[in-house]
Amino acid sequence: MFKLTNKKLTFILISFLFLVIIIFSVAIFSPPVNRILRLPLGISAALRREIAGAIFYHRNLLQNEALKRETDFLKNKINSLNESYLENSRLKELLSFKKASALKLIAARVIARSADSWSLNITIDKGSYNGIRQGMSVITYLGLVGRVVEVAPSFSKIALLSDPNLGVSGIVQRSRQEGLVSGTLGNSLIMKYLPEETDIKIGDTVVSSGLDNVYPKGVLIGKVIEIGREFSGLSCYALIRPAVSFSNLEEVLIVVP
Amino acid sequence: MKSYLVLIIVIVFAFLQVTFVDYFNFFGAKPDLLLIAAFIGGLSLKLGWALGIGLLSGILKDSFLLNRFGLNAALFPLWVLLSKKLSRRVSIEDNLSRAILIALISLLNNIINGIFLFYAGAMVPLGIFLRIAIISSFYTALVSYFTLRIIIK
Repeated sequence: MFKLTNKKLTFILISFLFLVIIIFSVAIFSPPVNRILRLPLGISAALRREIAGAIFYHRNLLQNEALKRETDFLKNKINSLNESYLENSRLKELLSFKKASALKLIAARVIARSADSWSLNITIDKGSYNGIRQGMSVITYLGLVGRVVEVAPSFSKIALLSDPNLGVSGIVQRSRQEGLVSGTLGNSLIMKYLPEETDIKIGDTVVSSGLDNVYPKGVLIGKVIEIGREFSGLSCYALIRPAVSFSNLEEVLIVVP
Repeated sequence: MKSYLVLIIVIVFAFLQVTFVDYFNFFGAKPDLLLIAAFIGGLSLKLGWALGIGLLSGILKDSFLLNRFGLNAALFPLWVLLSKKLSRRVSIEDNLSRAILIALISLLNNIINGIFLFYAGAMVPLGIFLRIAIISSFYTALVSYFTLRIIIK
């Protein structure tokens, strides 16, 4: 039969206690480990960029030409939109609308990524010394990226929108239908808790609603690629292809409220 | 193998894990280099050192994750202990059997991580859960096979 001597019992108890201590003490180990590795990770990120630049030289050249053409087109578009903007401002002033302030942004470079497939996060080279605070939202020029979840003096961790632990209040641009957008660990995001008779179509654009007071209003999240019914049958969901490619992020912008 | 060499392997693998490995992700799953490093420690060092290497690998992995609990820091030494105990009873002298053992350990590690994530309140679709758990485990095993061929002659 299975015999448990006093010696064995003490060993098991000590091992168990040790494991519990380890589990709860990683929050203490994590900041110094990240701090020590910040400089080499920064160098490695720069090196990686240079190597990728050399390897993909031809692709970058073609991309550069295409982007130059796009910039010219966009400059032209901005000029025409500027007129509309000025007109809009004048009309808003006439109607005494409250002016929305422009976003104040801090640019940061990605130095490390998540160490496993179960959480999607990135580490950036800016921290509380640079004015970054926990809970700030993170964007790129393409759309919403995520939220700052951990801040140290010289680095911060950002939970990406594709992480299932993160949720953002989204709104369908066309129909103004609201829903909770969260990650699935896959390539798409999911917009949950949509009513049964929801006005949402494939190809609709989803932006942040700003109702959660975390993310600025109107930042692009992505486009609807699939609509389905939840298992319970009480509500619908929509799968969204994110506007930002989370696997290729190199620089991000942190929104200072 | 000398303990300082294993230590260097752990640090190099930690570096690769958070920088380059992301470019090689396959259907959202990536190999766990730190688990391989811990396993190499388990194979080539004495129990005390091997457990230390396992613990260090786990701490390094948890340092670059969002969860505040050191799940990997607790699990990695256990996997090292398991592989050590198993190597006394079953022969794992060739790289193929080592890779199979890593696949099993990785699968267990992934399932525990996934369940932990679920209990932390995150909703992961079953298909994605299985895809990550299975592909990631076999990807880790495949990478470990070639890594072990290079590192352990």
